[in-house]
Amino acid sequence: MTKGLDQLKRDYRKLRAPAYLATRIGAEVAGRGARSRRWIPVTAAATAIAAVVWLVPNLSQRQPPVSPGASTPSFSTLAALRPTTPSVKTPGLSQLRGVTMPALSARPNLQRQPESQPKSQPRTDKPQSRIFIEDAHLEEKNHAHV
Amino acid sequence: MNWDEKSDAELVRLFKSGDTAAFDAIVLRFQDRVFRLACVWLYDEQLAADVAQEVFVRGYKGLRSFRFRSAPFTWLYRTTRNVCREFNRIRRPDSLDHEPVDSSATPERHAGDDQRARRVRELVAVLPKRQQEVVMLRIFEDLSVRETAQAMGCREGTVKALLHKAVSQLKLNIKQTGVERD
Repeated sequence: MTKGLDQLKRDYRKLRAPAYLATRIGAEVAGRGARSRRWIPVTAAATAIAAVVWLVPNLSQRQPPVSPGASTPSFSTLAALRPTTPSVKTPGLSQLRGVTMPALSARPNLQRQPESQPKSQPRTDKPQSRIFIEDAHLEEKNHAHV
Repeated sequence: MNWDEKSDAELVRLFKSGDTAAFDAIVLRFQDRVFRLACVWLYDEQLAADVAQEVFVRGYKGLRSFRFRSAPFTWLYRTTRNVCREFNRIRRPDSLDHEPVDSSATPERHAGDDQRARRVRELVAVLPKRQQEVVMLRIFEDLSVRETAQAMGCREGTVKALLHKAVSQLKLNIKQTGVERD
């Protein structure tokens, strides 16, 4: 490198920042930092107000306290659970054989005609049972064959 | 804590872990380099100070998510370049390769500094934009070819080719202007 270039480099390197520059930078950085932190108290106040607004109605509508036992059981607790067997025992077959059933009443004779009713009695519009209708029908048939 | 013993990556790591004092150390370590880059690109030391401030303010936020894929200075260099472009866009429609503006009227700076700055700007500003970047990173800031390529977002071969052209042109300019001393 020539002397001229060396001299130029030396001249360049002799250029110095003003003495106040570092102080000015420090003040500017601190000022901008403070400006950028201005939102913190504003946000804190807004959060506090929002919390109060949210808490006041919730406190007035207080729910009954939940017992600690009502909490959801863990899986291990659920796994330890065993179903309780009923105390009533089902009867065995030998016991069932000894049971006697009560006797059923006699079967009613549906073919028997009531004797109290006269044959010549005129027919009425009263509802009659199907058995009597069939009997009358048989009588008519017999009469026709005679 | 002795910050000078820490590497750039260690400082950023400490800052990421919440040590804000590490950020002050990063500012002290890089402020001159960022300021110099902005000086050459903007031709205005007051604006260069504003750019450096903006770069580090962005760095305070951006370096928290730094992933160490490249050197921390590479990140700062790219941010400086972007901020300079934004400032130039606001100030005037042209971008970095504009004619130098005489900033000798700036009262805060010493006359010697102004002269040096003007001389560097005059010689570097005539180069194409990419060659300017190579000269500033590779020659003035002593970055390796690889770091320069990472910072510029190009291949190492491109850096070498650009550097060769830029050095030839710079030597010629120094000779022509007759500013070569000794």
